[in-house]
Amino acid sequence: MRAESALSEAGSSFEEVYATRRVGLHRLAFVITGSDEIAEEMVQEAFARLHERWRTVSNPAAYVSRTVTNLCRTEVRRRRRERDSLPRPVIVGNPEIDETWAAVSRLPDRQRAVLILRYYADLSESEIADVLDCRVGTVKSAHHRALVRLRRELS
Amino acid sequence: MIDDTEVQQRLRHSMQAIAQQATPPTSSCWHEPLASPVRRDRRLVAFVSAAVVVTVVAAALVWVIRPSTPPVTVSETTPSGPPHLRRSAHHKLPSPLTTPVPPTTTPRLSTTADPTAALARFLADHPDAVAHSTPVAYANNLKIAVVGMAPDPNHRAIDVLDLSTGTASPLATLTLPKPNYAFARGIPIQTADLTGDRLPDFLVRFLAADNAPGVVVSADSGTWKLVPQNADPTAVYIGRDPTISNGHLDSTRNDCMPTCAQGHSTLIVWHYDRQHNTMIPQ
Repeated sequence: MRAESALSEAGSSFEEVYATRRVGLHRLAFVITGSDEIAEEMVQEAFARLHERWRTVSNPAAYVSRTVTNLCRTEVRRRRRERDSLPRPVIVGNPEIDETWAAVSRLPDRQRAVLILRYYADLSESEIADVLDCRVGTVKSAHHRALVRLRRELS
Repeated sequence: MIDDTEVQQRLRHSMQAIAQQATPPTSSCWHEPLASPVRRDRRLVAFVSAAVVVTVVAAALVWVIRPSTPPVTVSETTPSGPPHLRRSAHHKLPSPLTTPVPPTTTPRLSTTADPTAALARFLADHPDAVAHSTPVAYANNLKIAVVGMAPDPNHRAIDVLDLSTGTASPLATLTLPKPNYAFARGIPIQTADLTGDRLPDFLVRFLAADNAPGVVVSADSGTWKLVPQNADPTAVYIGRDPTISNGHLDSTRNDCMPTCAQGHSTLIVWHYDRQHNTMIPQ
């Protein structure tokens, strides 16, 4: 099916979803991975998957957000496992931001993902659980542990 | 000392600032992609890996069943006696490529047994089973689960069940020491390899006054047991609020100053001391 004629149940065409979501998803992927190259690749891959499943996906925006998040997490884990080059933490130049971000970068994968989805993407705990395919209780505990650890490191 | 509110503000501020460092590509038109080089490379790697695995497995099979190998006869179709004795008298020593079977972990013969259904039947038959894990794969094709049993207010136990044969067979009953915490029915029993033996261990949670302590159930030492924190075998309750995260066990400590509700929490990561078969905090 050609993307130009495809309409989701919500009435948006594929190109509309792409045009309105691409930049935001790129920024989300960048926050997770710390790399523009990886972010672009993951966003493109997520939209390619959405394109393949366009007829069956009822909420394209949620689908592509979830896919980007999980692709980025998988990629970061893969690079860590294979000792591949992980992007260095982004340096902004503001000591407080850099200190906070360095501490976030040292968190375990799930805790970091929960914080990013909570404080960057502004998702609720149930939405985060949906994206990460886990229980709300798991999100809560990961969130709590992450805050405890950050509070300790930043004090 | 900063508080949670300040940490949250710094997180929002930092993430917004970090996100602004991103430089998304300028083109906003969708171009249906061909398979990208990365995807093609991954597919090639997957194909080559699969081919290598198939070749190795085929070579191993040919080696194992080569004509010079003494015949191996397993009388699975005519069982006589308990399952662990069903190998016939003609059974020869395993070839070098096969793993000897420990006497306590016999391969199961049933391939159609449904461990989930077996667990459901056990739970239906035992109203005192108030908490349970899902069936998990264990060594030698075993499917096991742990179940929290509360037959009366003064007695708590954890049963380890073998579900491999389609019925629930107890492998061990571990009586819990006092205090008689209630099982935390709403908190799932987590599984992970906490002891480093590449087999799943279980974290069972309870309800205490203001937190949910837990015990680790493991067979790393050769027998099923509640893993203690020191030489005292009754020191099995780990608090506060232990969870398995990324394959390791962690919990929190509260200094309860001035009260536990307002106290400062510290993360504790637990490790398994294989020499003493204990969980130790770090």
